[in-house]
Amino acid sequence: MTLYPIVANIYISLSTYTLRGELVWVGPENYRSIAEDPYIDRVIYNTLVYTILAPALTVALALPISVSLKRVGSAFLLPIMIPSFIPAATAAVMWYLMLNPFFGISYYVYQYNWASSIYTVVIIEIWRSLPLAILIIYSGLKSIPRYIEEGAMADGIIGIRKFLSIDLPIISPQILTAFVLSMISGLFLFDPIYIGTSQAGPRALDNLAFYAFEHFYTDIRLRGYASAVIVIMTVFSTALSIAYIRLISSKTLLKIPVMRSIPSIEVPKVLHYLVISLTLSFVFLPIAWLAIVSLKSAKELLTIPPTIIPRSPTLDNYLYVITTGAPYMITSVSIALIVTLLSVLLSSMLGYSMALHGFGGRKLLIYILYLTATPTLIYIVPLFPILRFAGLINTWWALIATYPIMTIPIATWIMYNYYQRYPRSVDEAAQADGMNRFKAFASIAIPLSKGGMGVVAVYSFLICWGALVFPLAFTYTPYDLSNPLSFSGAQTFSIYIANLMSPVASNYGAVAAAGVISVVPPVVLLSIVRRDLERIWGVR
Amino acid sequence: MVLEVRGVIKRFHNFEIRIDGLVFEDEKYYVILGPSGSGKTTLLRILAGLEIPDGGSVILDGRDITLEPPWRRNIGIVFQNYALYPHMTAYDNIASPLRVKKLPERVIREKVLSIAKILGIEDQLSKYPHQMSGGQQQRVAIARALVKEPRVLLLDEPLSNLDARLRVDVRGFLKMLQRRIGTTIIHVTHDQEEALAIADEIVLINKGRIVEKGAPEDIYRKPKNIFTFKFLGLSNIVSPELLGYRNEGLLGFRPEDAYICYDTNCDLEGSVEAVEYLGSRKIVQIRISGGQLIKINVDPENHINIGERIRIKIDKDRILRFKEVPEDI
Repeated sequence: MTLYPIVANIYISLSTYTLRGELVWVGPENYRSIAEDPYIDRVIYNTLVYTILAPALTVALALPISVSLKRVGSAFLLPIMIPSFIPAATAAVMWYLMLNPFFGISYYVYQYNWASSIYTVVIIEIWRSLPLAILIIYSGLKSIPRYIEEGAMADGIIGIRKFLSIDLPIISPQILTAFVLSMISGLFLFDPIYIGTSQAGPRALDNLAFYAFEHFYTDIRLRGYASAVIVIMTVFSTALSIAYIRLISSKTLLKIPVMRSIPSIEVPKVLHYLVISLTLSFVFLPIAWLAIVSLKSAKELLTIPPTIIPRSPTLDNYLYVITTGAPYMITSVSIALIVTLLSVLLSSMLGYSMALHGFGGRKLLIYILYLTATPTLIYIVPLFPILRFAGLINTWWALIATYPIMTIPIATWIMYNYYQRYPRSVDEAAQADGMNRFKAFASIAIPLSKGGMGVVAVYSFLICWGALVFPLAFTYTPYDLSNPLSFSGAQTFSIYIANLMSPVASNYGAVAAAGVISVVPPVVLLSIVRRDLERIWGVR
Repeated sequence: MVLEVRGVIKRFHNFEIRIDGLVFEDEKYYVILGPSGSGKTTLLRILAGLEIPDGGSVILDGRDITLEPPWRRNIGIVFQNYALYPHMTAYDNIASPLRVKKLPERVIREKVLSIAKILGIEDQLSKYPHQMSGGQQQRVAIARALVKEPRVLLLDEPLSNLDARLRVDVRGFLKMLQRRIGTTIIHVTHDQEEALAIADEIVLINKGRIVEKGAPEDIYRKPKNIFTFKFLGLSNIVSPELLGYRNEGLLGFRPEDAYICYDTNCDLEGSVEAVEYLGSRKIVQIRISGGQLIKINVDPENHINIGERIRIKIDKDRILRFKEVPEDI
């Protein structure tokens, strides 16, 4: 299952498709053309910026924020986590609207056309990946045993000195984990570049991932080339995944030399509050601007300087989105619901038998972990011919068949960890009461795991809701409402948002309204499962 | 004969359980006793079907059930932490094995009420596990295991989660329950006093092997094995020449088989090193020549000072002779 896309990518990378769709062997030709590609230097430079600079900044910011979060309390964690659950396309749209030199709020600060700068993409990526980094580091800080904290206090080690000499070494695996995960996300960064390219023009923002996708998408004859690029990326991402799997089970801690001059002083609590308020502004400013823009009339949108409070708020933009976006929304919601149901059922059964009956052993566990760190991009070239052969391209079925690739691994990982705390003897008592393993799961475990299943459902739904790569690759028209039972036409709401943002439409008011609508499910669903979510994150 | 274990082997990476032959008879109370890590709980789990042995067989009423999963065995089990279903009331917990069998609700109701009456929990049936005390939860767990009328009831350390006072009450209750319902009970514990108090027959296990099997009084008074002697109650082990016997093997006697002696015809002499007052008796530790410590029971009213030199005499009829050299427990 996992080997297929990798092997297929390697095979396709050594071949080329003809216009009639036949695969012809060409040997290392594609790899040779990468070296000769006039754009490749720029693309590699961009890739390095997204893969190294963005993660470094993310972790550098996440560390002080996590420390402050620990001091002021975990109540602020959930709001800070929201960006990572917002569709990446929406996140990109927010920032481009905010940084627009004439109509964005940045007019008041610095009038520079950020659209063509790769650093806009870097900021968007930081905004999206910072929450996960904070979560990982923060839960590391929270898991420091109380006796160590008390021991340090008794020894008179507090404040900055305690952080450097005790906390930092203990959470060093978490810091590295956060860094590696951000690197994987940066290496395969796609959505902000897709949105940004429509603003900045072709090739300015491209990284290898987007570059490969463009080749895959524009011309069937370039799919071999796209595969070659993806194969090279897979090598790096596999190395990163291995590092991630090692880190997550690592017990070795870094030793950090602490200078004597570092004082044992507690940082004033005000400073912690300041850090948290800055973080919250960073998180919510783009969302607020999105909401403001969505209420502006077409005329007001084009006034310079931009108004901060809409003079005559209107719901026209929402009306427009509801009328023109309906087929996209129907597709997105229905597919997210179906895939969520599938994911919850499969992942809880799998997680249960892994945790309680040792199903699959350590190998399956590592495999699941590997899959959680595998980006969707590597699947598109190999899956496309299969879906085409099955006649599923541009139907709902294509998305229903492929979305579980994104949801099942993370869902299973969550359920596995959730069932680690399930008392084994309850399962055994059920067996002794005459229930077979499936019945013990169905009638005893399921009622007891509503919390875990709820969280998994929210994760799955939001992953599907924000998906962009698969629908872009496998669909090309919106849902055909005139023939609903054909389930053909399957472009999603994310694509709708991207389309509105493109220079052809450039309907910023509608983009903002659609963006706001796409932010509603994450905010609502996360608040509903908040308590179980915090328990599963290990911060409660 | 109800349940039989034949040549069962179970291997772990650094440990092996090997039970060559063990028979549990009808309507008897068995206690499997052993130190922690001796393999007693694993043996119980093999009987329940929760572990599959690497070799050998488990036979229930003449039928080989070694590979049968727990849900097809007619065996009840009560777990150390009771393992009640937290989302069900006591009634539903007890009814669950019957509901699996799809009995009519009327029959279920009758059976649940009658077992609840035997266990004295009729008034608890509408409560959820978290609303009950540990003792009540345990009775619900026992009721749930008994309601399907199993051939054998397995109890895994049933008293270890109860406080000391309740433990003695429940001990008596379990014995009484077994007399009343007549089911074979196999009870696992590491507490030797509990085993002596409750068992019709004790199966003593150490390092994955059966050390000795027998009625409490036999196994306490006439242990064939030095491990049994040391594990059950307090013991003294001396070299035979100290008491004037031929120097072969070792001799053992219990603290209650020795007494302070005031005439010239005494066996050992030493100085008092420690005195423990236990209410109904005193245990005095005496260091004899050669440096060994001997424990004897003394009347609690008898005033003995530390450092005092005393002589003791040992009841010759009760001295045990062991051939082997003891291993540490």
